[in-house]
Amino acid sequence: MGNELVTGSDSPAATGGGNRRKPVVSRYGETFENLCGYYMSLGMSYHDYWDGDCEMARYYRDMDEKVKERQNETLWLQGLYFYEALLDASPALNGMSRKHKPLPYRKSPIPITEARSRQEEEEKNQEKLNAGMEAMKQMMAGVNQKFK
Amino acid sequence: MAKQMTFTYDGKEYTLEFTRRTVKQMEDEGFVAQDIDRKPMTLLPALFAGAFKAHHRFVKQDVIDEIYKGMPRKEELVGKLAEMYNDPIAALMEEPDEKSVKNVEWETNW
Repeated sequence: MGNELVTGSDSPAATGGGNRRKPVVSRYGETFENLCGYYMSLGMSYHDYWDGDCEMARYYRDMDEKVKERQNETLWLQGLYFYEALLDASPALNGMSRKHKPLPYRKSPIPITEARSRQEEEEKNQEKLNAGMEAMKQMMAGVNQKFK
Repeated sequence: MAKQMTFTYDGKEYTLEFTRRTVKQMEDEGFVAQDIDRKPMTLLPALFAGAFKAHHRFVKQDVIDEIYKGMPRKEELVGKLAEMYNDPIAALMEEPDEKSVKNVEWETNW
């Protein structure tokens, strides 16, 4: 009689019908070991993973998702700048065009926060107002000139 | 927050909790959660004792046995311990849900 036939106390149900097969009883420990490296790649320390609050894992996953989304947005924005720059430079690249002077690159970054967007809007309005006042001054000066 | 069970015994406060390490330790020592229906008399005290490993690993077994004997509402206690035991693996599978995370309060009747 083979040694493996009498060893082990697991029932056939627990071992999947025989001792030669790997036990079907799932061990959480194996899953924990398999996933440890993944969570460490998310920035979780070894100590936190094994001994810390087990809920931390959820928040590390959540954080990872947000980091990926932010990276994606950054890459998208970079693509947008590149696209814009390419269009601005396109007159210089087009040999058939009469105008070879490229358009200037944007003066300031694209506003991505609400506060920056509001500030830019205010600056634009102020510029328009100043231009209007300047035009009015010149017109008045022209009119006054006639009375001299 | 991880699921925890707190109580006071003999003037000392205890916090029971399972971490991934303590669950793995229990499995390494031969604890098989799936056997709980077949061998409840052995496994339930073992499950209770395992919950001490995270915060009170040096508490002696006879003290743990004494506390277990004195715990009221055993059926509910076992259900909550099982939930706590599953918490480390559940946290690896599910999305964060603040509402489902609650601490359990226990009091002894002596």
